[in-house]
Parts: sequence; C-alpha cells; structure tokens
Amino acid sequence: MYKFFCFLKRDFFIYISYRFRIMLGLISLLGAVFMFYYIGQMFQGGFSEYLARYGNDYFAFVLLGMCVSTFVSTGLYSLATEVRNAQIQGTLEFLLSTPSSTNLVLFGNSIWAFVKSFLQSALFLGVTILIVGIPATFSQLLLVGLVLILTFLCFLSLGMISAAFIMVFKQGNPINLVFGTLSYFFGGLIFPVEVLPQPLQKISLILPMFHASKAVREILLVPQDQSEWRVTMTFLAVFILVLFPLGFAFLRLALSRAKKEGSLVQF
Amino acid sequence: MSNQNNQNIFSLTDVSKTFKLPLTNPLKPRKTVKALDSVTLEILRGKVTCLLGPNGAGKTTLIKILADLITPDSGEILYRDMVLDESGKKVQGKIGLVTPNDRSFYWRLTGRQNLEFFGALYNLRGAALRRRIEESLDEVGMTNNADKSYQLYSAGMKQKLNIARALLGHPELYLLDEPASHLDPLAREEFWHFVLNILMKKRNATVFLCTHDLEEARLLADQIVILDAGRVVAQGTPKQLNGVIDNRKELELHYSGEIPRGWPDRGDLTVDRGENGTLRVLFDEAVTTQEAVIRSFVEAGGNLREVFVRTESLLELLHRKAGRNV
Repeated sequence: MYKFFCFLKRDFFIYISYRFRIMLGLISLLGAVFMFYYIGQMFQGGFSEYLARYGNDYFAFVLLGMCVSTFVSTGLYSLATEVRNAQIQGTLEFLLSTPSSTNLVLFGNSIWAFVKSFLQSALFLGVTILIVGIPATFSQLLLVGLVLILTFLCFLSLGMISAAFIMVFKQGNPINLVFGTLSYFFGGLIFPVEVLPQPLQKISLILPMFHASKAVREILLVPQDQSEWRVTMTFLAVFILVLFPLGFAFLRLALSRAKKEGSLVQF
Repeated sequence: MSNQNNQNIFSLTDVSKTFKLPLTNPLKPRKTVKALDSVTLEILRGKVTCLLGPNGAGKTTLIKILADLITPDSGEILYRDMVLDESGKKVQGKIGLVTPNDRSFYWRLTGRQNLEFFGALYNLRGAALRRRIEESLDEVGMTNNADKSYQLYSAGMKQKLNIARALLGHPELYLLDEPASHLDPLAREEFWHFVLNILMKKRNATVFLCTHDLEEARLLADQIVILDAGRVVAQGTPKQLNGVIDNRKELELHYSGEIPRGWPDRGDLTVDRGENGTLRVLFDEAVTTQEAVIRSFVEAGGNLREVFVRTESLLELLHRKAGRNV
C-alpha cells in the first residue's frame, strides 16, 4: 500500500504542476454536466416509452451513464495508456529494473487515473442525486459503489489485456476497438439500447458496459420491487471471474515476450 | 561454469542474443541481428570491470541482460551460485543501474522527489529512506540542488542524480552504462574519483562499466572486456591488454650502417623498414623474447644504436581486434 501511495504522490505532484490543464479539465467536466442538464430540460414534460422504466428523466439517465462510463474508460484505457506513456517517457525500463514487482509497477502507474475517475464519478453521482433530487438511501449508494467497483474490475481485466497488446505491438489495440468503441454505442450510455433494432440489442448483452450502466440505473431509478440489479450484477461478476485471470496471464506473457524481443523501451 | 568461492558476482557462459529488426518491407521476412554471440565473461567481486567496444558492439544489450531487462536466447548466467532464469527479480535489489537515459526521471518533479519515489521502489521508507537520500545526495555532491526541478538540471547534475538513485539501494553491483558520456572533462574526472573513492573504497562495491573512453577504462578498470559485433574479442587487465594479450610486441630498432644480409633469418618476425635507419619488428612473445630478437640482430652483424619497446595501445588493440576503424 505504501508503494501505491508513493505512485499516487508522484502523479499528484506532476498533476498539480500543470495548473492550466487542471482548470480546463474542471471546465470541461462542468460543461458536460450542463450540456446534459439542458438536453434533459428539452425532453422535460415529454414522454419517452424507452425512459419510462427510469422515471422518464433523461438527465438522470445520462448522468448515471456518464458516471459508469468514467469507470469504464479508466479501467479499460489507463493501464495501456500508462504503459505507453512510460515507454515514451523512458521510465518503464528503469521501473522494471527495481526490486518492486512488475504488477505493482503497472498498477501503480495507473493508480492516479483510478483515483481521478473515482472522484469524477462521485461528482456525476452527487450532481444527479442533488439536482434530480433522487431520494437515494445509504444502502442504495453502497450498492452503486459495489456496481462501480465491479465495473472497474471488469474493465480493468480488459485493460490488462489491452496493456499486454500495447507492450508487445506498441500501437493498435483490438480490445479497445471491441470493448471501447462498441461499448459506447451498444452499452446504453447515452440512449437506451431498446431504441436499437431488436437483433442489434443482443450485442449489448455481451458487453459489460450495458450491464454496469443498467445496474446503476436499476438501483437508483427503478422502484425496489421491480429492480433487476441482481441479474445485472451477476453478469458483471461472471465477466470478472473469466476476464481477471485472463488479464494477468496476458500481461505476464506480454512482459516475457517484450523482454525476449528487447522491446521494453521501444514505442 | 563454477562460481569459485563466490569470487564472481556474475559468470556468463556462452550467452547469445539475436534481435529481429523492425519490418521495413512487408513482402520480405524480418532480418535479424546477432547482438551477443557466445559471450563468456566473469564480473569479479570488488573490482571494476570495463566493457569496451564500438557502437553496436552489444554493450547495452549485455548490461540489460544483467539487469534482467532482456532475456538471452541461450547460455547460462550465474549470479553468485544461482542460475538466473526469467524471474530475475532476485538480483534486482542487488543491482544499481545507471543508464545514459535522462528520460528515466520525472522532469516535473524535483531531484529529491524523484529519489523519494524511486527509493520507495527499492523498499525504503520513512527515516531510512530520508537518510539514504541525504547520504546519496551528499556522496554525489547534489545536496544543494536536490530541491530544484529536474528539468532545470544541467547534463552533469542529471548524471549525478542518476548515480545517486543507484546508490539508494546500497547495491553490491553497479551497472554503469556510459555514465560519463555527457560530461565535460572536469566532471568526468570528478566522476572517476567518485568511482574510485566512493564506490570502490567507501562502499566496497563491484562496478561493471560500459564505455567508449579508453582513458576511463585504463584509469578505472581492474579488468577490461572488449566486445565487438557481439563477441568478446579480448579480455584481461589493462596491463595485459596493453601488449601481452596475444603476446604481440613491437620493437623499434635504430641502427647505423646496413641491415645485416639475410636478417631476419627466422619466420616468426615481421619487419617493416622505416626511414633514417629504423626498423619496426613485430614478434610474438610466446615464441621468442625481445632479448632474443635484439641478440639475433647484433649477432648477424647489425650495428644497433638504440632500442625502443612499444606496446600496443588500447586504441590500436580495438582497431586490430575489431578489424576495422572503430
């Protein structure tokens, strides 16, 4: 834990050394919230059968989707991004030459991204609860937290496979293409998947993003007696059980191959 | 190879490594380059071993193999008496790596913040970490500059911090990859004193140093290994490599009058006739001695005025061993 804290401290100091970027980041975050608020206002009073299950509130629907999406993108992209950054910066090789474990180095490099995405999701969640006025109980918030952790672990597993590809091939990442791009379209993030043609809706079922965003909405927006959060969380748990060991295996193989090829510093 | 009584930190036997070159033409198979070819050498405990060689000789590949950043294709590497396998983490706490890469630091952090971070990765924390940082900064003379941003450092200061980072873990072996390559002459001299006084005398460490600099090797090395095109072409002490290796020696004979008719009457001498009554005589000391060469000249009737003994310089040795201009 102490070493993770040191990674966090390192990246925090680097982060605050770029003050203009912090300001722009906050502006873009608030900009997204306002944008969805006004889109929600546009739909207010109207009725969409697709949103009926979620209280017919598009603003709440989309902000909860964004809350999940932040965790998804962090889990999926941050490991691969940080591996590539460390390759380009030239720090990866030295980090791996220290007595600390390879897994610690890889995860430690991403921990700041994880913490940032947690804070960002908490902001989206807080805004949704406060502005929309969702009467969320403590147990509902705990469940949402659990969903977000499961979502994160699920996409972290995919992120490990993604990082393995980057370590070996440097650029070009099939995992991001399949689970990133497809997820944003078929994952029910911005719009309910029910608006898609029936055959296409089946693609959503194999995407963890769909189950994650649905779980959060089922917990917060659907009355308890009709909520299907247990089913969706089971899906996420199964994804993790399959993908997590696979992710570690891919990373180990990639590192071994990069060391054999002598390509750890190539990018 | 047996690692006799732990006298060696590392023993390498027949270590080879071939790299595939990046694909340039998708219609042709990828070319390969042999970076190391059956390298056998020993790194002696408590000594400075210098690895000399031209660019592309395989020096950095060898250092990275020792630091477990590259896996060799074949051969055996013993760390003390342990065979190194892919799980090389067991040596990584014992090695202090200094690479010529200044990008292995975080430029937005100060020197001290960098050392705090890397020190944690060397399993140091709290008071012990702070003490090691102060000690390392003091030994490289960076205490007064430790709280400046790394990006403001000069090349010399960056290199000092690089060495301070390697000192943090108190390793028994320092792998120094061209550590003085970016330093001005004064800083280089300061670095040499640092190796001799701090690493060798104070810390009683072992140093494996890659360099192009013959003067550096001559001054620091207890043992020199010359690498060319991935092969060890010569190894020995600086004294041995200055002439004894391969037993090649050269005599410069200054004579008056004529060269005795029929001299040399033996096939083991190579004689080049110079200007103004000089002869360059190359001979193999394993076959004959300089006294025998001189005696044969005098006994054949030669009138010898002066004799100079020349030993081959490291530069000449590199030229000859590499078989080309290096």
